[in-house]
This record gives sequence, C-alpha cells and structure tokens, in this order.
Amino acid sequence: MPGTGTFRIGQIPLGTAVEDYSGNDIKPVGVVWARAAKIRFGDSTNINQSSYCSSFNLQFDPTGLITNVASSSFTVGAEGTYQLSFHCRTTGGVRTNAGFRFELNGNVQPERFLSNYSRGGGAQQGGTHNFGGDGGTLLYEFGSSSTIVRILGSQQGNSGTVTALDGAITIIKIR
Amino acid sequence: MASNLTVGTIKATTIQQSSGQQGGGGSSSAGGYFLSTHMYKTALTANSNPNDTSGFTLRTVFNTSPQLNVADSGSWSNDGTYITIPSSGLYIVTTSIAYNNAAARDSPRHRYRINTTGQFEESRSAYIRVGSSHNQASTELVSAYQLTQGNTLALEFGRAGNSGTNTTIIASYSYISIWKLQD
Repeated sequence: MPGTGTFRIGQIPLGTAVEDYSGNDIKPVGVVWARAAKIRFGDSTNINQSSYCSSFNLQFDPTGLITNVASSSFTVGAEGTYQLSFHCRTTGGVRTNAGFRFELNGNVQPERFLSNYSRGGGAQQGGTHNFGGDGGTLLYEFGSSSTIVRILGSQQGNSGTVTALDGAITIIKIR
Repeated sequence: MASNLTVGTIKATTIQQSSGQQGGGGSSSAGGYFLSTHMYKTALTANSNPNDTSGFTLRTVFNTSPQLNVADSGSWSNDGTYITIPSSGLYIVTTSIAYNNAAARDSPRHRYRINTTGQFEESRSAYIRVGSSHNQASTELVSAYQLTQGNTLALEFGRAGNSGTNTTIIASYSYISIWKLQD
C-alpha cells in the first residue's frame, strides 16, 4: 500500500532496486547525468583564413561548466576529458573549402574538418552551389582547470571568402 | 545527507533528486556526475588508398600509439587494423578523416566495421574537385553501438565519386575517438 510523505537519504547503493507499487522499475527524476553546455556562434566571419569563429553566445549550461564567454571563445572551468562537437553552415566562393580546427588554450589541435566545399559561380552546366556546411565530433583532453576554446579557420581550397554562419559547439564532460 | 540506505528493494511512488544536489548516472560517478570508464583516441595513418573500390574495403589505418587510452577494466588493443573493445557496453564512436592528392572529382567515403560486418551508416562528404586548389576534403561520422568485450572495430573505405586512385588519408588531420556511454 503506498505511503505518504518524503524520505530523504544521501545515496542509494548501486545494487538496490527502486520500484513503484506495481513492481515497475522507476528512475530518478531531476538528475543531472553529465555536465554539458552549448554555445552558438557565427557572425559572417571569413574563416577561409587564419581567423576565429566569433559572436559566441551561451545557449545552455545547467551545471556551470563554462566560466566565461567572450566574442570568439569560451572558457571551461574543469580539467578532464571532453567530447567536443561543432556544426556550422557556410557560404563560399568559387571552389572554396575552409578548414575548421579547435584551439585549446592557444594550442591548435591537429584535426582539421574539411567538408564545406562550395562550387561558387561558373559551373559548366550552371546551377547554384554556393552553400556548404561542416562539423565534427572528437574527444579532447583538457589538462588545465581553465581552458579557453576557440575554432580557428584556414584556407584549404581556393582563395575567396567562406562565411561562417549559424554554428554551434556542444561540449560534454565524460571524465 | 551522507547516509546510505542498504536494502534490497525500495518501494516508492517517485524517486527524485534533492534540490541543490547532483545525481549520479552512467557507469560511475564522482561529485554526482557521469564519468566514462573507457575511452580511446588515436590518429589515422596515410598508408592506404581509400578511393580505389566502388564497394567498401577494410583498411589498415589506425596509428598504434594512441593519444588517449583509458580502461577502468580490461584493456584496449590496436594492431593497426582492429581496435578491440575492452568491456561490454554502449559506445559512442566518432571519426574525422581528411583526404588529399585526389584525382578530379573523387569522393572517398568511410563507414565502421564491427567484427566482420560493415555498418549501415556511411559518410560521403569528401568531394574533391581537384581544380582551383580544391585538393582536400573530409568525412565525419558519429554513431553509437552496443558492443561486447572482445568485439573489434575497424574502418572500411570506398569511393562515392570518380575512380581516381591517388587519394590519400591526411594522417595528421585524421582521428578516431571511442568512449563508453553505458554498461
């Protein structure tokens, strides 16, 4: 028979089952599973050169993982291992393909994301292919209790402009 | 509240995290947050020709000196072709693979292989025109798999565009990450 009131304890050991009165397994509500945050960026920066994506704007950070958000960076306030994901839509010139790289405390990371090819004008058979997008997800170790994260551009195809628009970075602390 | 309650079964209407505290989850926790127990990251190598078949072909592409190697139980192994899973559970697998030196209009693709089976997801975003300095591109892929200890994870490559055979993986730009989400 169901009781009433609230019973508070510190922890429930792993081996303890928690069931409702019909014997169904029930899970906690209101639990924070992992520390995660999302940062929006993209303000028409030309990233087909060594420049930073900018106009960073915090979307959510329920556990206070991010300690500062600046125009072209955000700061993570805990060392550990993180999954960093980003996606960004682009507009590009003729046969442009910018490189996207993460930079952690000034150290440019080796992975280079190169999927934003735009044909631009002048296609032999016409048509319009001036748009692209790029993104990627990998693990990174943050060795400092204060790590500044940026996204750095580079020219990997033709010269010209690749405009970074409406991007987002999602970060999850996994260890 | 620091007390523990040790019983076999708790009967309740709901169970709820107290205000101001953090609940645990996943495989283990510290400070109340999820911690992954297994994670691995390594670069790829350039010694393959990923665009040479219309189907998918298994390639030996893993650098055997990982950047990240954590296993709270069991151990990761990597012989260059296969990464062996150290512990059963649900894993997130991510790759970013860059290519260059292509023939015109190559478009290499890649997918994951678990044991002997190529998986249905594939990445095809690496069109390379080879003109006006457009000689590089990349494929990215993220997926989740329920894996068993001893399963092997590998990469298969093929072509989605033209049939040039000069495409090379840019080892210094290309990585695979694997981490355990849940037991």
